[in-house]
Amino acid sequence: MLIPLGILAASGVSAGSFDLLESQVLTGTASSVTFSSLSTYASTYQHLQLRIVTRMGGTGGAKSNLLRFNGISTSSYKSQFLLGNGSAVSSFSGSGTNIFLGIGGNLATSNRFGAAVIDILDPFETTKIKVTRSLGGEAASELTLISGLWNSTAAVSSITLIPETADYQIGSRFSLYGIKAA
Amino acid sequence: MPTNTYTPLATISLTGTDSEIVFSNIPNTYRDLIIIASGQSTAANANILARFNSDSGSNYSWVYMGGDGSSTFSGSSSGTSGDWGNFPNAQSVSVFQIMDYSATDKHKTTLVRSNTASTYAIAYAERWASTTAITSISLTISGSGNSFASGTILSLYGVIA
Amino acid sequence: MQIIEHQELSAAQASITFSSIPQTFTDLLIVTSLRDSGSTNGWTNAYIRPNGLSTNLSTRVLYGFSSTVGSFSDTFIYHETVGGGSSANTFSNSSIYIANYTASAAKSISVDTSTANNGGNAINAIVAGLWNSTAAITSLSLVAEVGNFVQYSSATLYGITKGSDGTTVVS
Repeated sequence: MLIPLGILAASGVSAGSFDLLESQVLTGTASSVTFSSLSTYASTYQHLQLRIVTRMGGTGGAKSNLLRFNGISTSSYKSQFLLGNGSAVSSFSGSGTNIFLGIGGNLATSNRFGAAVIDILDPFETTKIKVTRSLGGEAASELTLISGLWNSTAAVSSITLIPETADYQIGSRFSLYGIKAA
Repeated sequence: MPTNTYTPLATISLTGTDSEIVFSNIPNTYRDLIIIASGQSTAANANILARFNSDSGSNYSWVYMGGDGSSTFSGSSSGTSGDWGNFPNAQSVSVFQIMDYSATDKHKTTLVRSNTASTYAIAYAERWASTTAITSISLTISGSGNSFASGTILSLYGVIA
Repeated sequence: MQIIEHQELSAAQASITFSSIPQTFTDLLIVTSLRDSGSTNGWTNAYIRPNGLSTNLSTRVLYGFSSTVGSFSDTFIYHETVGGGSSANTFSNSSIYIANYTASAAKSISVDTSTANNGGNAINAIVAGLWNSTAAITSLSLVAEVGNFVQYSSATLYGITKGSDGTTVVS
């Protein structure tokens, strides 16, 4: 039996703080995927989480999912990697026009996808540089914990995900969740 | 329209040892599953092993990285069960995120965080090489005769997308 | 998953404390966005103190910063804040998961902690933690190792409750 929300409210219990906002599952290839008009969520949600399962074109080595905020493609991003490749753990950083999120699958093996969960804390606050934390991987290749920085205090209004190589393939899935703080 | 999610689906709190925990009849109405395993096993050096839909074929592979308190390590392997990380006879918590479990167009990826303060901190990326939607998950402890210990709690949650 | 409390500092403070934590959930999740008032260009510790205590804690860590990786164990739970000497307006991004926080058993803790820094080094770490106490967690403090947490530092506490949908079977 579903509990009416009114009863939950009367008991002092909220209906839950983790909401699916938007989701895109590709039915064709795509060079990027964008979640836009995110300012509409600013009054309700404190944090955002992306959950992605992706596959890219190409058959070469591991390629990353990339992220940009607000459509900004200038060299204003930095990523710090903690990476396990099946042989050794390594750490390195890089600066450029995107944040790195961890790898996707590719066409080398049928049905091969990679996955990542990305947390973006306080994305709508204008007092903070935007920092992401991404845990992801693909079993045939590597896994990573990556911190990303966008050198701007602007409120996040859009998030664009880009494959490092070729296009995102059919079946790639991108889901955006809002997490409340009240 | 935002939709509330992170829904509890099933939970078990062991009052004795148990060699196998099975989540079954999992509805296909979510996109991801999250399992929290909190407790310990009956063995000093043991891992949680996972199988989907009773598949005992050589369809599981994984890559991992971790620290043992003095050294880092990374490895990869494959087998007839997924290796879901260290779960010894010391208090542990493991978080398993099974992504796109109900999809029929991809192999299934699971992200694992395995935490035992007395042994290892480890992360895994797992793959089950099947496009079948997951309807059951079996969890066991590696090593002959080993079990989940009394007091261990395993809880399953669904996340829509 | 349900919000319990969100705190964002309006002024510098040595710690952030969640007190009188309801005992009605199964697990706790805390996400933190922290910066300290010190001069470190990098990171410092943000101690996790269940019930305000610094005893019976242990940690095992895999970390990486710059091109360095390593692992260590210690008698606190590893969790980072951005040092005040790092690039301006930059805060950490971490999650702390505490399982069965009301149980009369030791409490296992999973931490993923990341800092960022446009003008220096940043660190990532995966952390296994333990509070070896059978007491229920009724409060949780985050304490700056260096100076204070600065204005706009934040921490959000969530409760997660196990249960059943009436369809899924577990045995």
